[in-house]
Amino acid sequence: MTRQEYLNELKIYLTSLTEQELEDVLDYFDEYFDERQDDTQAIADLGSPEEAAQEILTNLGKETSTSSHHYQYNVGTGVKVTIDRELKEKIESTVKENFFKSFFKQFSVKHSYQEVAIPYGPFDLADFHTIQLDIEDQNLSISTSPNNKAQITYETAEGNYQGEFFHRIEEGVLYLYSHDEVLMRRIHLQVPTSLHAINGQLEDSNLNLKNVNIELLTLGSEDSNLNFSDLQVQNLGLTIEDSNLNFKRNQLEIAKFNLEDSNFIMEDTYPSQQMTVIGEDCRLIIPSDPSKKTNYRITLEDGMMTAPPSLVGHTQIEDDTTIFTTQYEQATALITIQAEDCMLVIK
Amino acid sequence: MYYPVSSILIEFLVLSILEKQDSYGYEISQTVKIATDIKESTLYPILKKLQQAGFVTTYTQEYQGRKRKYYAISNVGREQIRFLEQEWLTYKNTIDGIIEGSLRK
Repeated sequence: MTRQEYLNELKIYLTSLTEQELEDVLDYFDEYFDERQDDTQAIADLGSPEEAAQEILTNLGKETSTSSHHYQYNVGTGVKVTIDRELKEKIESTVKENFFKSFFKQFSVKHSYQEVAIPYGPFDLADFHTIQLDIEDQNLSISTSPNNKAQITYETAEGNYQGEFFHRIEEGVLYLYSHDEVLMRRIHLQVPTSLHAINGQLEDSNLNLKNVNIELLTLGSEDSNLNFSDLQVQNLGLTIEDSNLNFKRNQLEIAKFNLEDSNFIMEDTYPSQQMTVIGEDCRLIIPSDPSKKTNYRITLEDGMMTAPPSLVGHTQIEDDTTIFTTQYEQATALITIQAEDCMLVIK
Repeated sequence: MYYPVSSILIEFLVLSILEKQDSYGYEISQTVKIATDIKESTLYPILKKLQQAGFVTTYTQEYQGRKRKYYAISNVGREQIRFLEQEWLTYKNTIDGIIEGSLRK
């Protein structure tokens, strides 16, 4: 790990700090590296970025992400998805659907575009670097603002808008949440080109997210449709259940997907470092990298898999488990897939 | 060293170091490390806390083309040392008293 990697990772764990607080911490660590003049030794002394961050947060009196209301899902190198206890319980209490049935499952997502929608807004938004979502029964689109000005527009059905806001900004964080009594037809959010993070959860919702550079994207979703296109994401973690997930033309550095009873279609998207897909009862369509810059390590339990002849690798079969690995020497990235009762198509 | 050093004691050490001379993060941590194996992630929040309490102030100085953040003790910080010193003596005498046998209930 280099000094820069260490500081980047530390940053990821310190998202709950304000911008100023974060800058101060990073300056301090930066200075420590300068004084030490031996990055390897410095890192050995500092301890892992995760430990260091926890220690800092605890001692600065900040709530760490292991608070009582939230559960952490470790989603690979340096990323943690935090999802609400309620959502976790729901996910765990869900009875596992039959494998084939899940292919034809109808998702209970509301589609109400054809109904009357009256725009309310746009409202200009103060500066923010992070978006925190807690969304149920909504259609939300997030895209880059053409003039780099952050704005939000609500579309409501006539007569049921009470003049309450569904967003607030605190210390650089935009909180966007749904309201039980008011049905929004749609919410359009226009954001600056680069954001630090988008976190949160969705239920029975549609989310379109496109054209944004994000350092950290972690979402939990249930019964939802998610469309992500033209994004640049450094660290991505998604925990998805009973949802449709479409990925188009995204640049990912490190990504981890936990999928259950879901459809995942990925097009023109390759990780620059690594991507892990863990799927249960899912249909997964993953592209094969024509440049052979990506290695694949696939573990398939039950289920089925198809791959193009161009993908050359080693196959090992033990009982119900098939392990397929490629060993391209020039590869710089790795896609790991662990699929149980899934239909996996490498395209 | 075998005995753990509490964060209050580290505050006391840091203030005492700064009472003699202004110093920067790395130098402070090296001195504190003589007494206890402390990590930067533990020391940083303590320095921050001392700063927020008004016990220390900071300024930046160039050193070999880069920046060093210096910490200096304030008057309130000096008063805090007198308080911590008194508490430390009481603590030390009590522990010694029990160990040596001069203190008993």
